[in-house]
Amino acid sequence: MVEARDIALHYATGTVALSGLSLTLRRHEFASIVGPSGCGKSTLLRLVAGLLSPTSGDLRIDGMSPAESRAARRDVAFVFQFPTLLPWRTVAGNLQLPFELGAEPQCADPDRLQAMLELVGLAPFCNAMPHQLSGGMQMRASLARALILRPELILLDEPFGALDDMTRQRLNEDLLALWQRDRWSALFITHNVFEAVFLSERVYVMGARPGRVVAEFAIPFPHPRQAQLRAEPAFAELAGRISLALREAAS
Amino acid sequence: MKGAWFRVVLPPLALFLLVAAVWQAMVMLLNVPPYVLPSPARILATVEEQAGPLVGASLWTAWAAFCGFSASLLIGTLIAFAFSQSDIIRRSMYPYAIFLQTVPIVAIAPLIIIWFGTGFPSIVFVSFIISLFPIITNATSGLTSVDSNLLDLFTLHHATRRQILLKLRLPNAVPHLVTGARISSGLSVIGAIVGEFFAGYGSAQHGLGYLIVLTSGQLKTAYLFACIGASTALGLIIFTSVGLVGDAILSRWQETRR
Repeated sequence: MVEARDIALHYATGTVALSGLSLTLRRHEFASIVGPSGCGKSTLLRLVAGLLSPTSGDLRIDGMSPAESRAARRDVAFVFQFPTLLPWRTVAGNLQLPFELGAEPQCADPDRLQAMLELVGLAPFCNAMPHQLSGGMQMRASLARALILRPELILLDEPFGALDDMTRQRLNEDLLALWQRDRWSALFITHNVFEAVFLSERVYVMGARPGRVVAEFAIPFPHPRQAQLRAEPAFAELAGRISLALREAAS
Repeated sequence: MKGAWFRVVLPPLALFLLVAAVWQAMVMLLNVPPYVLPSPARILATVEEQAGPLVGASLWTAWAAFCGFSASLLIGTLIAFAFSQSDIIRRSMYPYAIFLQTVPIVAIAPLIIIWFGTGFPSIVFVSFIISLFPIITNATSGLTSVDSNLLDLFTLHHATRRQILLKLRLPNAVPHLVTGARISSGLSVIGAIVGEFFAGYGSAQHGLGYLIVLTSGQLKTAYLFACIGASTALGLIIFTSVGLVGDAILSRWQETRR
């Protein structure tokens, strides 16, 4: 789905954000990227989204460059670190937004809207304004907005970083259930190793200055994964190994 | 609820009555001449006596302020729109917009009279000039200070320039515009009164600013106090009404409401 080979990104200021970065996201795979802060995780996601272009290297999305992929209107969904909802629109209004944008705006199918609201548990709040929702519920709305156009690729930039741990775990389980249902490909950025292990089939560890992939872990736990997985020794052992790799990358 | 009302209204009211009582007593005891400081009772009597002219002048000034305020709301928003659409326009014109804020209106008032003559148009123009700047700055910042993630979101969904403007920038500017309008509404009353100082004479109808000049010239100090009271009340009424309209609009934009 996403194939990055030896990618580099240099800013005009001379800062080298990424260098020699390679990773692969297979179709229907959920992969996470962990790394110390400032290692260019978000930059990588913006490259894949086509919001930035690499200075050198080869980046392919389904065999196309991000720009070509964008031109072909293969929608890439992006979930930001913050809910990023329009504060003047209701939850339902925010979910309609993706339909309204672009050269050929469409009418949102009300059944699809309703189904999506139910899927993320926001059906009773469809007419609520974002500020009336808790942080977790706002994030659910943001997820629903990303999923509503049924994209094949979803990029998530530390979406649960600002939530408390209980809410985060809950949303992890819900996100995984959604992924199991539709099996989009996901690139998920986090600095929380446990979250990465719980969600992913593959975890990449990035190092800083310049940003690059320093380690790759396959996560063998079968699906469906339940909350109990977090208490299993194998889970803790794997998370521990990734944490060590992360420490090494940060030093 | 009722208790809160009492807590809010009672203390300032009590203070007002106390000050008025002390004032009345001082004027009577020290025999202050009424052209220096009229007693509250005398001012009240003047208000009653001159109620007709006072209300007439207040309405006339309110009308001038309203015209000036509406013009600045409309033209200020259009200027801000131009600023937000083009960097070159903004960079080349913004310094001159600051001129509106810094120029002492009394210094350009004679110029305005040369251009527009005495009377209503000049008064509205002064009110417009004084109340324009807050609209320009607030609307500009509202149109330009958009969450960069939201801009990315719109870009990712292939939003057109028009969609970004209508669905993102304009709604984002509304709370800023309401703030600007609130500041501007108070200024427009001041502008109208200042305008009448310079250009309020020579027509059949006149406003509070003209009345202030007239009564002070004739040492009708009690009447002058009544005019000051009317000006304050007028400013308060306009400011509060714009505030209420703003609150009604902002109820959809709750997170930026203050």
